[in-house]
Amino acid sequence: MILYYFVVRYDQIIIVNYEEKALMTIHNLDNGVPFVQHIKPDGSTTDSYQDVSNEVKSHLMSNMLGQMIFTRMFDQKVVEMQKKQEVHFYTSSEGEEAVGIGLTNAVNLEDRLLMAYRQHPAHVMRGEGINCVDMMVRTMLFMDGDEQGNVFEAVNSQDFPICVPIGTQCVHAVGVAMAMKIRKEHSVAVTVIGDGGTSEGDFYVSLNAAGTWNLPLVFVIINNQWAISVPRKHQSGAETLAQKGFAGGIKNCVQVDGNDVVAVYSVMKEALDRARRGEGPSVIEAMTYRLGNHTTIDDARRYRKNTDVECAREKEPIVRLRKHLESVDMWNSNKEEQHIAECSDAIDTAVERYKSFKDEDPEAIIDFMHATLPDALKMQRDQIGVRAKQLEERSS
Amino acid sequence: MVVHASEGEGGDIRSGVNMITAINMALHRAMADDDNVVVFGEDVGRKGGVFCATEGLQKTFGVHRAFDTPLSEQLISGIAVGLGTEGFKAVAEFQFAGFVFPGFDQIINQASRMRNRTRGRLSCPIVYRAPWGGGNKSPEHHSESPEALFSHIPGLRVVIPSTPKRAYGLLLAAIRDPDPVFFFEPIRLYRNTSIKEDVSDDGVALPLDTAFVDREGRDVTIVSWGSSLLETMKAVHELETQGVNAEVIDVASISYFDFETVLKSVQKTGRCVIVHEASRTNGFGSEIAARLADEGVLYLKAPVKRVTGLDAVVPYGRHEKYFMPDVPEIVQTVKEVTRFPSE
Repeated sequence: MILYYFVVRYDQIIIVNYEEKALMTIHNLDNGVPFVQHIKPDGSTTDSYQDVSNEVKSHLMSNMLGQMIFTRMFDQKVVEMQKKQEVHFYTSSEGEEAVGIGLTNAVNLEDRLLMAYRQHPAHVMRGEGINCVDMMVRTMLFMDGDEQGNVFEAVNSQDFPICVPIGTQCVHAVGVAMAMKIRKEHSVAVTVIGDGGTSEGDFYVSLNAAGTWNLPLVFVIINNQWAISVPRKHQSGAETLAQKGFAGGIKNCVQVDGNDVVAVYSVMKEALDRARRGEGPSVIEAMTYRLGNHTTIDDARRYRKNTDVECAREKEPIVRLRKHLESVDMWNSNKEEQHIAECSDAIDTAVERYKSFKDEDPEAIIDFMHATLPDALKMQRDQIGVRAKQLEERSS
Repeated sequence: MVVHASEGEGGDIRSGVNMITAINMALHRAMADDDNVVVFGEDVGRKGGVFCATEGLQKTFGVHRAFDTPLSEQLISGIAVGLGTEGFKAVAEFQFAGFVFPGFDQIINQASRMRNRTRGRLSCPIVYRAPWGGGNKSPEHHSESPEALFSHIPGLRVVIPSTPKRAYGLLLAAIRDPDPVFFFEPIRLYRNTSIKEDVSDDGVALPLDTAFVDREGRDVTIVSWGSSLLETMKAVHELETQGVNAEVIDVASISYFDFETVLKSVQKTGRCVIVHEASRTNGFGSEIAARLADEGVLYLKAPVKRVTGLDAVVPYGRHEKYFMPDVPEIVQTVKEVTRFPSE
């Protein structure tokens, strides 16, 4: 009975998406999810590249390459700092830059980002330029264990802090999108989750509610193939993760080459436009690969083959776009050197600012528990001062 | 805080109101006062809630402000975070306190932390409401009293009213508070006729973090909350005929707990009995007893005793009466305490 129902529902989905394939047997079920790629790993373009707008081709593409180079340099810097104990902990985004950079360039400043961790390329480049030093500082503060890292005021006060418990941000995004709908705003909520996160109940209830209420909401799944040590195939029997959206009544569910920043940008733009036109939510599954360790305290060599990683490295996002741009004369080694020097300066400025960033008073532990502190907490606040003094005396 | 008969005077007075009506009045009032108040949950829209707490809200304020959600507690507690952070006052209803737990993560890890983790940049003005407590011969999972679990969550207030007036005034206070509050509503009191009273729809909130002295007395302090106050008051009248004059405190705000009011009372009586229907071990009574041991030991003339539910799963309807604290046990325990040390 359940199987029958599943097949019927599945066929309906396929009728909606691929009318020419309406009659299918259970063995040939197409997953109904289109795959979008504009630039191949070798830098050559696909047929769909002709649909890419002139704005992207003329300058956004090279900007995005620059941004990816920038955030990779930032990543490498922080990983290096972690080894010197200058930052306590870090989650590198090496290899996944195209997703964050593609999406952050596609959204408006008024749109809300609700992210998981490892998406700092998107946060750092949110509102690009003058704010990015501050966002680098915030990222380092967060990773070093300072709540001030969640204060994104320089960029957009409505972006949520990253969610560490997996998947919770999706449900918040449903609430945010509802708020936008109730207020008739033209903004969109964009929530980002990993491949492992799509196994969470929060992800499913969010798809279901977004479909039910036809919300201006874009789910971006960063499928980097690994949830710490568990490979994608052990997360779900579904052929694609994007197709999970169909069951929630979401019509626009697509897979994109997550290492092709131009393709990520295009599918994001399309999803955002649909949402703004009132055509409801989308699910975008960005296919990429986590080239680095899960975090600085993980050693991925314990659970995956180096040859697999090297194989994935051939498809990474920066190399292909560089090749492509060089082939159309929009990028060259001089340009890159100059860009790297500028990035180095910005990163050095951020690191300097991070190192001299003023610690909060320990009382801040209590100060933000409530808008107005209840008496019970005021007493404990006083206790912090006593503890601090005792610790100081003990160490001197 | 000593409450006098004048509490809440000044508005349109509705006579003989039960608790569910008082809650409904408060929701109407809050939504009329503030366009940002939205009410949602399972069956709260067209049906007006399984207990009718939200009756008429959708008709009066529209489907965007009082709406049904898909059947998912995870969703209800999580969208409250999204809506609250966006500046709405999210009033989210769980159908029963025993059903909250799929949404527990959002409450403990998200709603209660948003202000702190963003250093005040974002906040969650949310009221989570849930029918609470047993004694109704309800089916499995419909009789839980998990207030102690929630009182252990930093950043979250927990409130339990015991009368229609307090339900009205405390719910308004909870909705107006800029931070998350869990508002547990004793099912047994919803339609209890013995506590019906005139409620003034004056929009006046009662203070949070404040205990109420329901009855002044000299021999012993009985501390309770929610529906256990029914048995407590019956026991108090029985004790009075036996020459024991008890003071009764309704805690009302489990967190933040108004210990000062309890301490002041115990300073006078020297004795304390705590009554709650939740399980004993690590029930909120443990915190009260610990605070008395810490700050009130010199006032105490007898051990602090608790009359509580058992450390067992709440039984289905038939055996519920053996689980709940009842009048004879309260009377007996108070006598033990007032006669201490026995000859």
